Amino acid sequence: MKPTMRLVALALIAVTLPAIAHAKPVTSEDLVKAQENTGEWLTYGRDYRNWRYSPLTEITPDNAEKLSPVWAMSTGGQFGGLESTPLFRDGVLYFSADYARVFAVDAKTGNIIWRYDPEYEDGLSAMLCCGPIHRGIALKDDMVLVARLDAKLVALSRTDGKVVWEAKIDEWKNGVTTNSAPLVVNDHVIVGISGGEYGVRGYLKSFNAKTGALEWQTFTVPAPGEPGSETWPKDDTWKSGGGPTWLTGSYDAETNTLYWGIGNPAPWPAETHVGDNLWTESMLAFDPDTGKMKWGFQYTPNDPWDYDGMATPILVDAKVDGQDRKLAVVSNRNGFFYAIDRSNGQFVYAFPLVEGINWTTGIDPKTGKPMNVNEALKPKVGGPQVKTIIPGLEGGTNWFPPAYDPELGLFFTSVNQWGMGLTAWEKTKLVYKPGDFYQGADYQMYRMGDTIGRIKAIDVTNKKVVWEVKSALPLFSGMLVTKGGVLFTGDLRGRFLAYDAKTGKELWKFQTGSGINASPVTYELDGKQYVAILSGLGGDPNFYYSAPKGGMLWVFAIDGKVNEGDLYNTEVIEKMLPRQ
Amino acid sequence: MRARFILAAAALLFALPPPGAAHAEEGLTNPFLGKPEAISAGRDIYQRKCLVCHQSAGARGPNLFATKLSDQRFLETVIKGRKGTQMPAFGARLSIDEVWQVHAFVKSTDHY
Repeated sequence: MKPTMRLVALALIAVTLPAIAHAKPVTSEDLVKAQENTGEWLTYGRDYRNWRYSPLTEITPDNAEKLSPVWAMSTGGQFGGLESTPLFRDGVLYFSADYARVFAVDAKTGNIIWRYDPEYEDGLSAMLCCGPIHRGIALKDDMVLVARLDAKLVALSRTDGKVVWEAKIDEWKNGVTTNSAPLVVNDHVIVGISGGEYGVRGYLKSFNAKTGALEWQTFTVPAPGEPGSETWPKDDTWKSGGGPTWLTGSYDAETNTLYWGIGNPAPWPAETHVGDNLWTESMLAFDPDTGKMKWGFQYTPNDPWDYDGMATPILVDAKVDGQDRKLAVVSNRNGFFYAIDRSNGQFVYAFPLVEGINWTTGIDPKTGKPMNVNEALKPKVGGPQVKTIIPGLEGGTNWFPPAYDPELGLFFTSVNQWGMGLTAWEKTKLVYKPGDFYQGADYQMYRMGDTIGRIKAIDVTNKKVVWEVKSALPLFSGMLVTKGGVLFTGDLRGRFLAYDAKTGKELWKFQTGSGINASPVTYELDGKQYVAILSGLGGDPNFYYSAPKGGMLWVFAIDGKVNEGDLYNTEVIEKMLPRQ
Repeated sequence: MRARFILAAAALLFALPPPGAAHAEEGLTNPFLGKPEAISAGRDIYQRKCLVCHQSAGARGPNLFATKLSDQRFLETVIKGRKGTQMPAFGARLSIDEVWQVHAFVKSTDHY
């Protein structure tokens, strides 16, 4: 079947399903005030600060043990792994599954209202460093916005899932792919890209929410003559120098500033890109109207360890050393927790989140730069394996989103305690070809002890970990914390977990049937609090654990009862089962 | 040169049995097996195209160094992909000779 014919067929699937009757537009003001919206979850990190902190209070440490499933639905397909954060608006759950398939599901019944199944050209899977996973979508006006794996941005009607507009972000055959949730600021739909392992030059692009027209593009690696270009070799390295932007950023509406984490330089071996390599491994601040950069802070100069600085900045106001500070804080793949002054990019403090970090002796308390970087742990081109480097390239922490409770002043994150060996490729193999894998080094992760995963609660004001929970397996699930005092997350064994946010005491767990590498959300429907999580092992976690694959959306509540509604069996295959 | 390889691949595909069909015992055999230059070339291709999923002993995809597929089935799988899995079709990006070289590499005593 030709691609165009496939699209027509898919469109027909969409129109045969019921539509959403009363969908209120998601306005710019709704998004700015998302945190005040008690019952809904409108954007990837719940609000622009990415707190993942819900004001809901029905579920508490006292009653969490009564949580039970209300309904579950299968996402079907190829079970390529679920890493997404569902959104909730007007009684409908919207979420993306593997391959950027989008679902709109009636939260009362668990019935699918519509779905969007993108078709891809052959060969795309070979361009996905980390599998066909997808991390989220955005809502604006009457649309659901999704960045497809093949670097296309698509606006879907929230009513029926039909395509409203489509824009090309880039040519996937050159190694640029997309899998994160766009960030919508006013009428700007801002998207980042993946492809560091394919030698892309990172950037952010903004598209107009109404038309899909490109508004601006800002590269993260400067061209010769631009500020920061002095930190790159004076050749063409910068053109394939990495610095991807593969997680969703944050936004401070008070100052109209966008914050974004920037990935590692390409290829991995440090000697192929001598210099600090600005603005790879950095937190950058931008004007969302123009894309103009305001400031940058670099975590790991000249990184050879894939310590990607792409972590989403979490915007926190907290007292530090007696002073009220406006901070952007991150849990970093390089093993450290950082607090940066979000008004000017100045370093405030950092401390280690994993034990045994050996690529540096620590972060300079004045400059924020790593001290005494261990050159012996940088693999040489064509040289032997170098080990054991701590943390391993998966981090520290990784893409799974943390949460912040403003009342407790606690930041919750998962980190992993492991190491790696790296072997740099031979020089003759380090030739950039668009679309070819250009990692430049092979890796081996190593277990360092009896347990790998750690859930940590960090007191931002007092710069310390106040509790931690150990997990045998690495952790790859995001965090949700509620005003009710409960922290939710998952593990690769498939257990959905609830903890007392104050103490780390385990309150409840439920086996979802496949590994959890997605992020939980909570919402209110008809006066009742629900918690939802996607379960489906995939992506990088799939490298380290062999739990059954799957793809389910699970919804829980205390004494929850499903309203089965009258939509069941509306998808009977008429031809096979006609009414007599 | 590359276009010719691709045309050759397309021509071969017409000759190949459909997926799932029983294969004749005397199916195609890899003419490059055991040839050092082909194994070396196969290693390079493996690094650029296969490593990301198959790694050194299987990861998102199966361990190719332990493949039990026949030569012909290996060739078909790489050229056509495997429906319902994450294995893409490489028919437009690798020539038949290049697929045979990868196969020669994974069947050799060399290992990634």
